[in-house]
Amino acid sequence: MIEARNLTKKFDSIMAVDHINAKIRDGYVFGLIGTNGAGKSTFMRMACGILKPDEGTIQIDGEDVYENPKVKSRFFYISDEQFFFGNATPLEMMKYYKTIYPAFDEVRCGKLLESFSLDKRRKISTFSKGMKKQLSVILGLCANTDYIFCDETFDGLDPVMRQAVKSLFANDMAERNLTPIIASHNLRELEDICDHVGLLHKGGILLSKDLDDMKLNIHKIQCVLKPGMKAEELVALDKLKIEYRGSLATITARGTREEIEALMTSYEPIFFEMIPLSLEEIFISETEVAGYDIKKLIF
Amino acid sequence: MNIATIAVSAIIMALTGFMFLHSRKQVDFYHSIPIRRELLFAVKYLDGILIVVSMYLLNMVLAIGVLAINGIELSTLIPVSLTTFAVHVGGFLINYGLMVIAVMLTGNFFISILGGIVLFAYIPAAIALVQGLMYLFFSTINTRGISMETWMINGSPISYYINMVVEGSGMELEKYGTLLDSVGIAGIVGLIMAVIALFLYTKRPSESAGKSMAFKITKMPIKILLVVPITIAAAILFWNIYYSLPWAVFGFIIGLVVTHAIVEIIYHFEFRKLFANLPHMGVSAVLALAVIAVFRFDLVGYDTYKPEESKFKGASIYVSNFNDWNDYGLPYQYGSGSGMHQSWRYMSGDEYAANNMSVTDYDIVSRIADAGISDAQWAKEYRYSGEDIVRDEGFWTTMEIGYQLQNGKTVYRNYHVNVTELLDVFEALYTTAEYKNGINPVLSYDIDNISGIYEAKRSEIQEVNADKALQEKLLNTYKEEMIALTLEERANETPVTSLRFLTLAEYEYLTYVSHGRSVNFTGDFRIEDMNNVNFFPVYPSFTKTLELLKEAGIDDFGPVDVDDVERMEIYSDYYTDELAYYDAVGNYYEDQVYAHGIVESTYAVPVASNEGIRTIDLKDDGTAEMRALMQEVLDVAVSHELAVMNGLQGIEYGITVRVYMKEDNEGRREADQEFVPYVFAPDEIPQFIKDAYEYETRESKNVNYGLNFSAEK
Repeated sequence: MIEARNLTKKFDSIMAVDHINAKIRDGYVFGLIGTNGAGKSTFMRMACGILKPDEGTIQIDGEDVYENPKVKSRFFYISDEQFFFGNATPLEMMKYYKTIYPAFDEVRCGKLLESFSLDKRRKISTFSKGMKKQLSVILGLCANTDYIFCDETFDGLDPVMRQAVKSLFANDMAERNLTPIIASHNLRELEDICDHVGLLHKGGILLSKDLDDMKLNIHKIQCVLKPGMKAEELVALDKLKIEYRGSLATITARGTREEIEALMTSYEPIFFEMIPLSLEEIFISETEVAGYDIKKLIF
Repeated sequence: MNIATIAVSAIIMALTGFMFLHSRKQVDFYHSIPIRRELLFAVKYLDGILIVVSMYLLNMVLAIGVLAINGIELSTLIPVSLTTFAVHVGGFLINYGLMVIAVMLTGNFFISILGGIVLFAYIPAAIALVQGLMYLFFSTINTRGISMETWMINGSPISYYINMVVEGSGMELEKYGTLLDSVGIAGIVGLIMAVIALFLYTKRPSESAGKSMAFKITKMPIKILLVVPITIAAAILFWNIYYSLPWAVFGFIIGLVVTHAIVEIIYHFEFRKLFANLPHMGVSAVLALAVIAVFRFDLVGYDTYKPEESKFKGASIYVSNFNDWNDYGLPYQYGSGSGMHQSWRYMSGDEYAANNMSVTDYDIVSRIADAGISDAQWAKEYRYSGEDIVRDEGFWTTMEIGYQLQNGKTVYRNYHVNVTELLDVFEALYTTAEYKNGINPVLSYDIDNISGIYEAKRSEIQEVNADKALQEKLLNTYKEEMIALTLEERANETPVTSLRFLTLAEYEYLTYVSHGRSVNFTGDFRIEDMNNVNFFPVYPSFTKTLELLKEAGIDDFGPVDVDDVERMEIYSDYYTDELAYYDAVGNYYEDQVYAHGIVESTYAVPVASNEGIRTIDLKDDGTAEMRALMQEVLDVAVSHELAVMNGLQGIEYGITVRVYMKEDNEGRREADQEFVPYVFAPDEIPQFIKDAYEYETRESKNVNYGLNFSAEK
């Protein structure tokens, strides 16, 4: 488990990461969301031992990461712009990583390169941005580390490749309990892969919750109430947001599906139905409750 | 490989090897992998070394192969090649190490290069600045024993490396091994630099990639370390140009503001930040003023230094006018077998005294030092105001004292002292054996070490025809009379001749030099090669020595007889300026020259005009009048060569007599004739010459008035 306690990093007068406390459980996909400058990369770079925290600690299973090769051998870091040696080919990078990560699976790497149609003898400098991202992910997965840090890794991938990578992650999670930590400024990219999401803003963490918890505890109801009755009068319902379109009310409310259905039934509406919420909507609701305008934060 | 190749390789290797630190992308890569920074550093550092060293070795092996095929023995080639290899590797290591440190301290390629320039040049430049401040502000400055040049050479790896190579290039192959000491030092320094670089690397924040400076904490100290000396240097520069305080202040402000602004712009990569951190500029200004104040007000007591008696062990005292006649020196050999060579190491009188004198009478040393210190303090204020220093009447001389302390250190100072005022002290000093032995190498000569005795006067050198017994008597007698010589005698006597007691080593050297020229004059060597080194004066009061010289057949010590002289020309420097570009008939000359025959001669007619007249020609035309004029000159003129051996006697250097001897010039055209230069004591210049040069009306004269003259005044 990765645990950040009071993690703080300042760059001159800029507070990049401000006393963050977070836990990243093994075997789950952790998504780190935030705008540019929110502190995602700084957090990641501290988690990878690149930057030394000014205050607080970041540990993997109780051991500090910074300047700790033993701990660092447990993860692979894919930066937003991965470095490859000048004139190197995928094959050469594979050999290099083999010397760094003894568990590196060359055979699998070769196969994956082939299946992603990446020529292992072609100079990486001639690859497109997306191809370099694919190569980074393949190398990272084949390093066979416990954790893989991906900083904006999915941004350069087309939808097909994104799905392919996601399925690779899913496979490794299932087979060897890989824990991916994925930073992105794009909420939609993480929606179908993350188990847990942390939202960063101005160096601080706004919320950190399991996606399932959020999905199970927040719902959207479309309903037509009895004549003369307003949604605001549904006092037993923990309402987060109400919208009207004529007599059709759309209510976002907190609570389990069963609880909400029972409550709605008790108010005897003319019509009501539960509709699914996207991750975006869940975030909007959650952060609005926290006093933030999520649209300004993420979109 | 030459110096430039190695030095440039070192800089390139350091920059490229650690350039990853300037790129966030690469820093993220290297610092995220499970490798300790120490290991990463070691790999990168050794990479840079091995790339160059392996190429060097390959070239060396190929070169040895080629030379061996061409018949050069491996037993010679291999040791020399290995030593050369060690020198270049040593040079590479220190230059590489310092450049890596520069890269570690900075976060940008351009700034790394600037940082490298600063690190490579800082110490020599700082030493030069301190030296400049000392010469500007201290009156008694003496750098003997404090080899600023050595510090400057050792203060930068590039100069140290160049010095190693230069030393090696002039060295005999057999002595190459001696270079290994310097190589060893380079190796140790290189290792220390590597450790410093590693320390910096382990402390270097990854986020410094792309910034100007890697460590925030170093920003202010480095800025101040740059701004302070440059500010001082700018102030000194303007002072030296205009000798004006307002200009010095202007230089100070310009140096301060411009340097501070440039550093701030570089630190921030933004022009608009040129006036950022103004308090630092204030701190720099205060520090620069403090440094200037230390020198200006001599807060370290440099000019007032005099050791306490309890710390005093002895002193070397070199008084310029007492012993300024000659250079000393020693022959030395280098190489061996067929490669043996000889050379001559010149040694000035002050250097000889510094190495061989120890006057232990504290009272003498202290009184002289007090006078010197007092003068230095007085003269200092004149120097600062830019006024000419006009000292009181008396016989002034410059001098050097080397205070030898109980703790083994020697501290040297230069002084100006009035000998007339301290005559009793100098008389006492001059008669001590410690002083005489420390200034006259001849007093340490042993007859067993003497190959012959030579006499020099009137530009001629001849061997004294004496057997060993007479040589011994001459040497011992000369020593006795030299030891007994007093200042008073010096003040009254002009040497009548000079002697050189040629040592066996000197004989061997001169023979070697003569053989090298394929000539063989006067026995085994060419006498002209003796130059004027190690000739010692014989004064008229050295009666016993003169007697022994007569015994050896040399008795020609009196004035030159008019019958032996063909003609003479009398010149005056006082007219040189007027004739610098136009002669009497209006011809133009590019340079200031003594143009025989071009200028109008007076032919013994007293000169009435400055214009066009410089020389007085006296030629034996058979008339009694002319012969009388010539004899009048010869009776009082003293050989220039001998006169300069006694700085305590008065000499008019502005008037020179060229005496053309009949014996030297028989059958020669006038233009080819040789002459012997003569001068006059200032109070013995014949009246007709004084009249010709309007001598008595001249306010400024080129005269050394001598101790007696000054004492009388």
